[in-house]
Amino acid sequence: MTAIARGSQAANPKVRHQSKISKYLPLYGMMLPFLLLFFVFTVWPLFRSIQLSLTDYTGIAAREINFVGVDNYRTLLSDERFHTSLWNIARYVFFTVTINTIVGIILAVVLQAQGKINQITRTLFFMPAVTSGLATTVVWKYVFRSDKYGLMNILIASLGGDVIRFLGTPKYYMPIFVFISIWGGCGMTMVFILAGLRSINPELNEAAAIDGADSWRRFWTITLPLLRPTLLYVVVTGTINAFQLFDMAYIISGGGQDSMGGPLDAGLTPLLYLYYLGFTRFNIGLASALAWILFLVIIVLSLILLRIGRFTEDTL
Amino acid sequence: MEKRFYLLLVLVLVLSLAGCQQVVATEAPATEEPVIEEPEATEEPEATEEPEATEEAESVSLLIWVTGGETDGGMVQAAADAYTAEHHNVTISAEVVPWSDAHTKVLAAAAAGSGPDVITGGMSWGLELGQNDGMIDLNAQYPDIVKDIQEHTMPNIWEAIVPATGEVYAVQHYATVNMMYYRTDILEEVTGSTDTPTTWEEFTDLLDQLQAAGYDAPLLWRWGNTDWMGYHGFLYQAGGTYYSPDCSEVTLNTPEAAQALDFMLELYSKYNTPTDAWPDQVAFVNGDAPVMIDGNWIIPDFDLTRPEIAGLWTPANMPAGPSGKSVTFLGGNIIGIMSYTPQASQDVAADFIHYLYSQEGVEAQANYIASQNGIFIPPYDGFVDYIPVNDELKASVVDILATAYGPPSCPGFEAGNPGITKAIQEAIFGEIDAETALEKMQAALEETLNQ
Repeated sequence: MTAIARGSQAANPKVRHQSKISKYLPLYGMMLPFLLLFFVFTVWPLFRSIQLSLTDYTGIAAREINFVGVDNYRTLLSDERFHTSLWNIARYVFFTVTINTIVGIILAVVLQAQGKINQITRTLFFMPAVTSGLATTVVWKYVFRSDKYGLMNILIASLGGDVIRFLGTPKYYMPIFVFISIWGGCGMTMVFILAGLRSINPELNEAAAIDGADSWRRFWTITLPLLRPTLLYVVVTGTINAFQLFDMAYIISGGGQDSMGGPLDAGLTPLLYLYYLGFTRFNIGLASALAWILFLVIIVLSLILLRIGRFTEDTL
Repeated sequence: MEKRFYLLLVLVLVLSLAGCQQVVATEAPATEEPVIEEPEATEEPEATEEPEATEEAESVSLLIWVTGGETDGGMVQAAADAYTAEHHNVTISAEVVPWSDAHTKVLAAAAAGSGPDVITGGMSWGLELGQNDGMIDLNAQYPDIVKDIQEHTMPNIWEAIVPATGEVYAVQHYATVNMMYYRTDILEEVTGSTDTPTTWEEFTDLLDQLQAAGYDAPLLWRWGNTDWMGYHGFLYQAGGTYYSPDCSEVTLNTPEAAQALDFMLELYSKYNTPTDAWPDQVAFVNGDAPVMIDGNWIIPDFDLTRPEIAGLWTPANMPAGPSGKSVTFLGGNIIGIMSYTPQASQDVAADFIHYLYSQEGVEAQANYIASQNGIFIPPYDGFVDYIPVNDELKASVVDILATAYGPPSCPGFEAGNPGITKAIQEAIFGEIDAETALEKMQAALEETLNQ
């Protein structure tokens, strides 16, 4: 009787549906507080920013908000400072992601053995990743200060060189940003790639070695292709992170309303410009539009990178 | 069993949400409007002593966000304490907000429609906020007070904060100016005299002599370096202006403006002035750069923070240009009332701002600043007598107030000045010549004026 009843219950789709609901409802119930917060603090502001990007919202409650259509997008697309910020970030992303990945691979391959010295060296390289980015940037600002009392200039002077005005010369801004980013990020990249290296079956390398392949050939034909998923992850997340450069640019270029972006806007990034427009120029509508343009750029670039990753996987 | 579980779950959720609600309800007023609720408790004893007064005057509490450092906050609080001693129904709390955060915090308050009743801040903030309905027009609501304040404000300062259309969103709280600083010991060693230059020619002569004596980059420029604020003083010293008097025309592409730009560019090309924003003072202190341009606010503490050169330096006015005027950039703090402030608080706030322009208000602030080794620069030379400093310093303050000019209050200047800075920097770094730079500066202001 019971078996028949169960059988008929399972056969009835309505009952099965109800049973699913009763199975998952407690789980959704437990997620509800998080979902509420997620909706209020993430989803709603996201959609609100689309709406604001189509208005002349100044951020001041008393001010009437007017719908301006795509004017903000049009303004930005013809804004020279926005173009400069995009050019700056494009160079920064390219050099940071490329060099960071290469340095990460080298460090991971060189330090992958489990010796004591390797463990200590890995820890040293990883340390910047667990240190406050703001604090280290402030220290780097002192390292690159332009007078003869900056650490880098002391070093240059000891080698017989002249003082270099690092932060007073536009051409040094991006190299400094890239250098600091690689210093702070290569340890983390190394850890990801180390994890990728450990997931490669060692028998493949052993078999290739027995077949006479030297270490360089084994690296190119076995290790690197099998690291592709890890590298794809490192490159895509690295690109997304690099596009969001703000704190370093803010601190290094001084952060003041009039000095923001450094000389000739050499250190101006899209997020720094967003901050400038939204919080110093009272133009939240324009800043929201900038955020969405940046979002689209990042999404398109990430999709291209993923597609390239898949393409190379298919061709190998 | 399941029903009980769901009931329990719903109950927990409802209770947790109610808990959140309670937290919001109890915490929000504490942070947003802490002083509105407080006075009732503090005013009660007064109420028993002066029942008539409390019946007439409602208790009002003001929260003032003072942009700057502890000294700025202390100065406002000193004036507030003097004011509340005469107005028992009023409590005023001055909270210091550092310059680095102030603009963003004020905007957040304006966006939320909740926060301080009164703010102090940069010269342009009144116009920025006021034109976006974030601050009240004092002239529309309190014309008598504004009229009196105007009479006690230097005309050149008034011009900088009041647009041609006449709205007064804020008034000057105190002034800051760009000044020259010289290492007198080095000047004496190199030139045989501690006299400081008073004209452009004397200034460049001094720089030449210093360079000849081995000071490769004799000038260290901090406030206004490579930007429009630095150019500002030279423009007026050369006899130029940004706009025509009625703000209808941009007047930057003129021989005077060109002369000012050439003079500024020479400081970088010939005298190797560092191009960093706010370079460290250490080059001045160590004597590598015997001349420095910086704000007047460094004067009080300089001997204390840099004891190694105590007595070996002197402040001076900017050198006079071809126009014969030694104009300097005028900055400082404005003070105004946020638009969301309740009417009763607005009335008291306006009265308090008016009080800052009285002898008592100036004395309270000036004495506090003096106790902190500083000099209070009021917005009016008639107030100089109330500042506890010697006659020589009083004369300097009067001189500065007479010759300082703030940024023009013509429409679009705030939006256009990054264009001026960019053109100046392009010329400094050799990307364009001075003539093209001037054309770009003119175009930048014309574009924003027309908008």
